[in-house]
Amino acid sequence: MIQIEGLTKRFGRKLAVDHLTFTVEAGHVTGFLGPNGSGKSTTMRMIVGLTRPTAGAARVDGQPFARSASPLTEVGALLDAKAAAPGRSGLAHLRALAATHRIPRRRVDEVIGMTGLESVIAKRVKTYSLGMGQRLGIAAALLGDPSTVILDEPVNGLDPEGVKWVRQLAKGLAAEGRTVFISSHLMAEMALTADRLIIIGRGRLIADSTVDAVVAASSEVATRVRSPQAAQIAVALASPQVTVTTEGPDTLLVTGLGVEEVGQAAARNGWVVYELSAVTASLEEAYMKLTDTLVEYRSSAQPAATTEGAGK
Amino acid sequence: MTATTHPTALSARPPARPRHRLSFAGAVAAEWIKLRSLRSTWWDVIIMVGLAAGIAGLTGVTTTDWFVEAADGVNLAEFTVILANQSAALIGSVVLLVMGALMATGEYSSGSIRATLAADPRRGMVLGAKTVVLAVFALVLGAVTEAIALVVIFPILDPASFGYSMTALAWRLAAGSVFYMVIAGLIGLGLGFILRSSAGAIALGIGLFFVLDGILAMTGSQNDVILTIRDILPGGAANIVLAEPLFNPADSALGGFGGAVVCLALWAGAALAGGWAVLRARDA
Repeated sequence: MIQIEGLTKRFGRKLAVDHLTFTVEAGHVTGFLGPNGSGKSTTMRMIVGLTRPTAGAARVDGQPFARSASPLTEVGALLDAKAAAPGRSGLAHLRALAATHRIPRRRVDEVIGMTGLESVIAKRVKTYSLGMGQRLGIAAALLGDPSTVILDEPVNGLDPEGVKWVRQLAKGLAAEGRTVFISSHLMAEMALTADRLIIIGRGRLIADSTVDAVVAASSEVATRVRSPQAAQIAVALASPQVTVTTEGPDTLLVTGLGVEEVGQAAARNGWVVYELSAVTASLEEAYMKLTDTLVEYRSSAQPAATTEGAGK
Repeated sequence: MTATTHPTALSARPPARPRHRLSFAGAVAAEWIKLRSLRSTWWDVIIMVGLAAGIAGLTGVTTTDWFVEAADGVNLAEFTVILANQSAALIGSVVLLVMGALMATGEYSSGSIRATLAADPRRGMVLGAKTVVLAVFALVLGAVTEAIALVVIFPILDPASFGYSMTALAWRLAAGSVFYMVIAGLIGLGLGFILRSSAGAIALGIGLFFVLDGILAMTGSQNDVILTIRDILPGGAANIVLAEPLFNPADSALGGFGGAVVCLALWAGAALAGGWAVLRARDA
């Protein structure tokens, strides 16, 4: 279990994390969502003590991580795709980390097998692709068979098969009763992987809920009507509670009325209807809506690709 | 948990696994794996030993004809060791300074410091483990380098008495050379943690060891403060540790061999203390 209480981090004048309070429970995959630069990485680094909070505290299983007698068995963390020296082999990287806790070589070989790195593990890290770097980082995170697993953007650079593998791995770890906390800026991926979601924007908590609840809360159900009599229908349905917008020459989007009500109105009035369908907001839309006002770097502004703020 | 624990006391959470614990010995083992798994470490060893042997040979050959004259009354075995030190300690101190700096800055440039500190969040332990590994490695490598320089230079300059003529002072000069190389490595490590930049740490280290004294010497100043500063800079202390018979230790602010050793140890201690303060205070 990870408990975050009033966690705050200020970098100069910029407030990267702003009084975050939430709990990540064991036995679930908890997704940590937010646009780039929203403070996800900073929060994760504060959990493992790499970054010192300006205020507030993060606890893992009730104690600050830095005090753990056995850090690698408490928390396994992937914080950076290439957090290994380029001139060293992946094997040496894992063996050095394992040596700190006297974790046997057998376990090192086990995590290499689990992450499918057998063929490249003896090669130097500089020859690895981004995806292999991610797998090496995940292997390192699993070394201590930890009760809490923290993965920062683990699917970046992975091929579809790799993405699926991370998904299954996360679910498997949670099913074993571990705490699994995964960050991503991709809602769709989290929807498939996570049970619960923590959504932040500009360092502040936006939502702490289940995936289903997040979607339900921000769904704006509309009804799509396609008809040669679109103009006539638009006038007939309009009322203070109902908004009708035109999607195409013969297509309307009606909010405030369900498919049943629009269908009954069509039968009563004898309208010819080619299509009548319910429009539900997708996860991606729900997420965009939640974070809309809080996106740190808008693509319309500057070419902002280089400003990752407190990010990587 | 004991074997008598009731099953009802078990939670759904995986049990704490105290089987593998973080220890200082483990941290040292990890740092040794890291040091030896870099090819650059072994290139450094080859360069250091090779250059020291080569320069010692060159020094020997070019000194043969006027060896006795150059010694100017200094015991010949001691003077030979001083010539060996000139090659071994000078090359060795630069190589180990760089190696020490890279042990710290390499972690920052690659980002591996995050993996290191996530496995061992006790930062003092990380610095301590690196210090132990570097000190032992530098001690062994320094001793090998010094021995090779001596083995190369003695047969050239003093073939008749090699192995018999070494005085206590000659042995002390050889030991001083090894000590000086270890100190250079530790200062590099400390500066690396302070600056987190390879270029910066190496430049500052070289400046401290070689450049600053040269600049002060060029002023030709006989001002007491300047002379004292020159005495206590690593280079000034090194003069006494590496080549005491050529200097009059009484003239130095350090007083003699003991003072010079303490001075060098303080330099290393200060660099490591600074490195520890930065490592502890700054975000990784």
